[in-house]
Amino acid sequence: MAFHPRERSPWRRPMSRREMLGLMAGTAVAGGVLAGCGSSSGSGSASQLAIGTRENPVEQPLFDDIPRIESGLEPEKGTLRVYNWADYINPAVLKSFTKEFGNEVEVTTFYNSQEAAQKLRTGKISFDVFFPTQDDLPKYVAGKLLQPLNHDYIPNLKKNVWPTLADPFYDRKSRYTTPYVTYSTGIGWRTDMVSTDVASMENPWDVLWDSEYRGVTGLYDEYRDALSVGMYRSGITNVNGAASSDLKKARDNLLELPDLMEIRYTIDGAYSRLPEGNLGLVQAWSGDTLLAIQYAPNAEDVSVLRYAWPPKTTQDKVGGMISNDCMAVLANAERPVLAHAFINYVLDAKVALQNMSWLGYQPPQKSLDPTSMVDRGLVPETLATAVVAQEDFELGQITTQLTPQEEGRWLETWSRVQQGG
Amino acid sequence: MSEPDDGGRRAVGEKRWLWPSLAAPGVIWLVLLFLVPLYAVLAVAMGAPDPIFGGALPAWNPLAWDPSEFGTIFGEIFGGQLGVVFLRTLVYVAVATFLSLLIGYPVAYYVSRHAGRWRVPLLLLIIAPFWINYLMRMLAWVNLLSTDGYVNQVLMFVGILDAPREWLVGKHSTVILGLVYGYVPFLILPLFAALDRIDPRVIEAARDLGASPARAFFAVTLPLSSQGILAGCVIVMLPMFGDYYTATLLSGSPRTNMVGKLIEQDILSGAGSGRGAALTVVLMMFVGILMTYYLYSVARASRESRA
Repeated sequence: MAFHPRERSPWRRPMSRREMLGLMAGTAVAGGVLAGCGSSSGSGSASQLAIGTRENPVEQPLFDDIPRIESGLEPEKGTLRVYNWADYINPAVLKSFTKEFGNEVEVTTFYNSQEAAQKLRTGKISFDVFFPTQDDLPKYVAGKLLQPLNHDYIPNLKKNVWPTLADPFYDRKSRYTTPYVTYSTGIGWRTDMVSTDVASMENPWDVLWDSEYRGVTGLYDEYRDALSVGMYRSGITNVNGAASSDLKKARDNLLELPDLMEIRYTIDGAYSRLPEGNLGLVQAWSGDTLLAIQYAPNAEDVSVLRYAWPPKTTQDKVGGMISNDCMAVLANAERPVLAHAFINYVLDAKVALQNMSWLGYQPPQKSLDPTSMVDRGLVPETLATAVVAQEDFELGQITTQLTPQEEGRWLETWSRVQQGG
Repeated sequence: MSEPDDGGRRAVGEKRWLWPSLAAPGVIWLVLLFLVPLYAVLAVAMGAPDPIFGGALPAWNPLAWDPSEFGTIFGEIFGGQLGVVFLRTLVYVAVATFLSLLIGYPVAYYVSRHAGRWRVPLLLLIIAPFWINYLMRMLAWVNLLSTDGYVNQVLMFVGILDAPREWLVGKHSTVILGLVYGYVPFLILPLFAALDRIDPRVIEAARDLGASPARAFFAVTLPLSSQGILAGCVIVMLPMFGDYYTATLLSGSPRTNMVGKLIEQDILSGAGSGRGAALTVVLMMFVGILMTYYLYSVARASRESRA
């Protein structure tokens, strides 16, 4: 069987991480309109969601009853408890942390963001470090699940992390989070199965409707990713809104695919089926494309892999998503000082690199850009396009939270797409 | 309870209390692990939307239940594409169950009546697939069925196919074969148990009375194993109705999606949990009606055949 180099489940891993992005997500913001729009109260917890966009950055609110920790404290003794996606951190990093600090690390995993939120909201379980995606942050802050960070403990944030993400639009002044890894969503293909030069196309997404590649084409089985491709195909780039005409367009485009392309919706398409030659042309997260190198049966399979992110290949005329995941300290953490130390440790340049070598997903470190990664032999030159650069965050669309109502409309559309016919 | 007038009566009285109490653990189990979750599903299906985290907040008080989600779903079933998905699920399950029976019956028959000292090893072999995770087995099929996989190679070598068949691109037949492969052992075991219980002398008697082997099979063995057929079919049909991963792994095309897949999608997402819960309830009702009808008609048929 075609299985993975490490003990990770190929079926679950990327699914779990990605689901967060889409799943409990909410969005907002058609071109920066709705910044700060939230749904009105209910359910007891605080109500306004501070949703930032590139055009309208926000500071997340602080609460008097959740202070940040004092400076100059010693890390607590005992086990650090980490709450993370399954297989989303290199075990070697945890081991070396234990070696350096003397604290054991215990990782508990969640399957999707909905599950994580539900468990954390009970308040009955406490973890120290948590890994949310940036678009979910407003919910966690409004739900009072996170505590503000004390930057005295995290010098590596300013020192190592890209300036745009060290003071990001979704969390100005990095009050609650530091970035963890970044990724873009583009197109991956094999040159031995696809002769079109996707990167030079006027709208690269059109290739997914090119019947020459019928039977070898795949999309992610995830509603925000898949439906946004339906929008990009028609030149719609407002993938953070829920205009019914846009969703309808996306639906109609995607409904063509089963008959035209024999489309397959998979979650392992980019990192497993593409390098194995089972598929030849897929929608791909950049991190999955880099992970595909590890899953490729042999070197030839690596050499034919290509990746294009349309906003870059078309000078931002065509849409494409880009995003990042975060690290945060939970409000009820029992070892907050140690949690800060852990975050700082993961942001260390060397540790970040060690983590990426296992994870495939790329930390937004100053020392890492496409050129340096190719030079150091971390990424083959043919896949340099799958490395996210800081300036890419100026291009494309950054996923932001949908309001529950908007999300409902996206899900209805997605359900219709999945019913086929 | 009246005063017992002798020891024997007292024993009976004690038993009246004893036997129900033996059933208590099972009853408590059912209540805790079936009725409570079912109530939770209903509470989510008819709950209120959560303004911060999306999805539905369960409404525990039945007076606050809002059944509008069911209206939407029934609208889509009778006026939209969702009805097609239900129908497709039904056809897949019916065909897969029939094929499973066709494959499973001879196997169970052979093992129970003719395997001799190989019975135990054969039974072990039948259960052996359970030792491997279902997903792993399906992922293995993905490799076997790929365009240059062994299945195509063998079929082309034998001359059945001229060109490789694209098994994995939205083919109904592949999904049905996957279902059969995944669930057929569940059908063989109850069938084996039923066939094993048949007294061989009954069949010998049929033969002695002049029945041909075929006649003896259809007039004696088959009716006597009907309870096993019934149990086996129900056991494979129920999980098949809820199956979502077989089609996801072996096809991935919306053309072959079953109801379970739509439920999975809704439940795993935030804002869709209410809809997913409602769809779950509708599927339960759908399966419940089918099963009631099935059990009823089988019971009537067996009564008639006995009469």
